[in-house]
Amino acid sequence: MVAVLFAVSVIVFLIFNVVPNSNPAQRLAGKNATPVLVKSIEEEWGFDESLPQQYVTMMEKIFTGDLTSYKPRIPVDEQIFERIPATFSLSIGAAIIWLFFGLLLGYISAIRAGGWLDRLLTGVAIAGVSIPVFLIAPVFLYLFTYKLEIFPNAQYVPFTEDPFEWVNHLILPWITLAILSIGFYSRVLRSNMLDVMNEDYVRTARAKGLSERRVMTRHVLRNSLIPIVTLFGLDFGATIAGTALITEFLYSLDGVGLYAIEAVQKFELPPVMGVTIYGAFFVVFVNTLVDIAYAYLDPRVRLGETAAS
Amino acid sequence: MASEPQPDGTQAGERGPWALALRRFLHNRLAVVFLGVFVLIVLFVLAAPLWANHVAHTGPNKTHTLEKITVDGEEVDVVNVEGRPIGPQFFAADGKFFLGADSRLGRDEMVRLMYGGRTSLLIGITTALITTALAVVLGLLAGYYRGWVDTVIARTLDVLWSLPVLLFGIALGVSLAVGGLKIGPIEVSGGSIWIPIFVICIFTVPYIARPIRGEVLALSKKEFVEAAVAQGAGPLRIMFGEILPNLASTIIVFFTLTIANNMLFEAALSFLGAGVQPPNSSWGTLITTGVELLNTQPTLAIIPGTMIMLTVLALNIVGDGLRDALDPRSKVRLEAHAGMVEPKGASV
Repeated sequence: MVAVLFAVSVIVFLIFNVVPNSNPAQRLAGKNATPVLVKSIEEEWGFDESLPQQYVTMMEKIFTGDLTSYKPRIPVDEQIFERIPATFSLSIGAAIIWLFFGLLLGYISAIRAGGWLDRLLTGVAIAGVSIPVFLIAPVFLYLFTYKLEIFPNAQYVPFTEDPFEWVNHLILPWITLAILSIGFYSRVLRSNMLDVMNEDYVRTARAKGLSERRVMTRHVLRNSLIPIVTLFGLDFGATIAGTALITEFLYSLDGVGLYAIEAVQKFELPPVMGVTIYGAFFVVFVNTLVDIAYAYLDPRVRLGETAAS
Repeated sequence: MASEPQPDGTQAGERGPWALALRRFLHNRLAVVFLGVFVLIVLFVLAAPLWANHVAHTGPNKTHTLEKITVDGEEVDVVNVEGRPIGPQFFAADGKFFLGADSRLGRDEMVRLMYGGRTSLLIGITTALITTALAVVLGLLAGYYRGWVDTVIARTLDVLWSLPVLLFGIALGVSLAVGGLKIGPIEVSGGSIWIPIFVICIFTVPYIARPIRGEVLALSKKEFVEAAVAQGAGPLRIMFGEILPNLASTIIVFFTLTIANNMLFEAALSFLGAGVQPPNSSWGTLITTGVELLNTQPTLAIIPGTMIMLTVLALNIVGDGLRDALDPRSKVRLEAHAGMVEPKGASV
């Protein structure tokens, strides 16, 4: 895990310092820079040191909380902490929606497999997966915000400031983010359930005389949900890490993802490095939670190799 | 297709697996319809020069800010005094500005849509080809040789796989757009479309290579591989002659879905300025200009977005249909998605 974190940070560093065929000090100095200005910037930020040295310095700064963006000189960690509420609100709200509806639709599709409802829902799911965020968001914004004026033109309103407005401003982004994943999750659950329903132990359960409901909840669902837990872990981790950046961008939500986009477009390495570490941390954290949940859900994991095949 | 006489006098047809698969695919009406949709879209973008030269009489980058056009006999500003571009005219102005003008630069949106579509499709298909080819080779090598080869390849793929794809794609795209790429003797300028192609391929290969590696691992334990080894076949022959044909169905399905996935990725990158650079345009860059004018001229953002959606939808449905046709019991699942979700690979 640490190795991956290390590799990731090195890659980010290389992308910003090695890949562009230009001098970072030059870029910071701007168009009409004098050589003196460039030199002083170089010394200030340590660009004249060797690359490995620069990397080490940056890592030190991260761990001592000293990391600042190039211009203006704002501490990166402060910026990230300020923006976490927005990203968290967006991610958690959307996750609840997509999990609930995705699983619901998937469940219905599976128990009515082959019927018209199943086909309709599958169609809806495929459509959901194919629609890009930057189509949904403009359409929603135009329809609901501009024309019908139901929802405000988003901006993030903190929960502590006004809970009603908090929800009001987040509904459209939540739905936007959720649409993509609902389709995906419903299909995954449906296919998992169909696979499980063909298993012998389900037949046994039915033969034993268990009610269909019991069979579904105790046996089928429990086993179908296991792969979904992993998937959700990855997804949710990624969303918190800031991959919902386009959504944040389109809805003007001041989140971590938006911070990262702005930083990249300005060639600011420190914020991007900060966001990457933050993101990697959360992905690891969520995945660990998933592993623990796995052990709880799947007795085979708990029992280890002593369980039969 | 050979046929054999049966005891009761009838003829039994013999059909190979590909013919059977084709028949299954053709029975899937939805998939066939959307295959037609995809073909229409391809024809649409191929017709770009025809439309530009003979109907609209303009190019994708030609600005018409200060011009007027004749609409139903009246002279109308292409871009009015407040900077608002003209809306979709359809055939009212002899096909000029069929879908209106984009932004205050007054470029013909329909022409831009067609040319942009060329870039988007071109990038989608090229990256899919390169990615699939690379992923197959890597998967074969890792799955067949195992050992340290596998470890090196699998670890590298893991690192790439665990990166937040969109963020890094943007970072890499922006970095390369500025200075171009220089690897030894190969030099690519920052504005070339090979830059986004390169960026997309790097981040998409792990998604395909991992499931393929899984399948190769499973296949290489089968008896026919053992038999080939016993016959004295070398590793190249086994990988490409024995294992690869068994991967064919998976590869075809992945290829189709990868085109869709990569088009979404390219659109996201271009939308944020990290993909296709001017003067080239793609559906993604069209959406960027469109979003700025969302309240006054929503069509400018919605139309390119819809084109992307249609193409991706068509490819998804066709890919689904292909998977059902080629291997109805397959457990391989790979959904095209905007890079935010990990696809579910083959279960080994």
